[in-house]
Amino acid sequence: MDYNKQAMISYREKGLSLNEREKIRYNRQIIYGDFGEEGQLKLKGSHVLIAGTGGLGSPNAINLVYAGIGKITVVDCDVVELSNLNRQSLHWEENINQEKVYSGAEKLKRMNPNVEVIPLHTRITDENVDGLIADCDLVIDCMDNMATRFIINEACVKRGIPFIFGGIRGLEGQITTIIPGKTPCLECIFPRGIEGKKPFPVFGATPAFIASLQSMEAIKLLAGFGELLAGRMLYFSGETMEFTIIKIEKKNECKICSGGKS
Amino acid sequence: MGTINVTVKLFASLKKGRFDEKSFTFPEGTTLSDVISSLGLPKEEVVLIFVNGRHMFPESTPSDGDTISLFPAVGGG
Repeated sequence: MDYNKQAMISYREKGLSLNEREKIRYNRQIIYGDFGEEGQLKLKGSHVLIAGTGGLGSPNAINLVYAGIGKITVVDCDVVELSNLNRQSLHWEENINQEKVYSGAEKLKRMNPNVEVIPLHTRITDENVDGLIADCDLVIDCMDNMATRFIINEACVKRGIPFIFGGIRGLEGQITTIIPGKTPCLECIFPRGIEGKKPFPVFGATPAFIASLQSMEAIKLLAGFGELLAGRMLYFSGETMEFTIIKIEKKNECKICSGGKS
Repeated sequence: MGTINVTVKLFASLKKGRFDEKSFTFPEGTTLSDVISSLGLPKEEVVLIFVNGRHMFPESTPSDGDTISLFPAVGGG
């Protein structure tokens, strides 16, 4: 699979290797047949941007820090609130009123000192998005609103950077992996103006579950094995325990990824 | 003008108090948006529409025998 050639070759260009402690720390994933030490080196050579450090962002950051991604940038403009603490596992009582990215980065660095964690306390906008993602191999969508997702989607399509979409509400979630040039982009899939009412209901287990699926997609994409949810949308209902995967297609007239008008 | 028979499947929260799967007859030329309105579903709650497993948009017109799957928005994070 060659979804991300840049990440696959960058560890060689950087002359990266695994020291003995890293070989032990990551042993349980290195012994996975399709992954191996080369897979671990690909993760070590990768830079992932996690957009949002809330319900989806917290478990994604934890999963990927433990997995040994070389560099992780976490972006969020919010501070920790008491009502976040039923689900946002990177933030604790003691962090209330602290910027989420600093609350999260401090713990992430302690979880795995091998990973470079860069906290950016800022709102993602049309003006700054290109600079934020420019150096990244992958962006993971952990936003709580569609408007910012569309901004990230457009920037990722322009730069050819893969983007793993995730959304949750209550006990429901959905996920798809967007590979610019190969799969539909967010603009192909969703209409504009579908912002849900806030606050939205959510149990902590829902974003933890969807984020874990996003993290699996990230690891497969960066290491180059397995089958991605590329061109497919997984829809999960926790209330009925139904999993539905539906094929999704590019919109021919998409203004973002097909040069069209809509 | 003729009619078309379609099967509508509702997913997740959309089926609460409604149905899982049901057959309907509509006039030819009915759009997916018309189908959603006729079922009393708030348009803002239906964000993903698939016809026979293929992603479609509200302005599309289904054909006789199609299966229409409707999904709600789950845009939180």
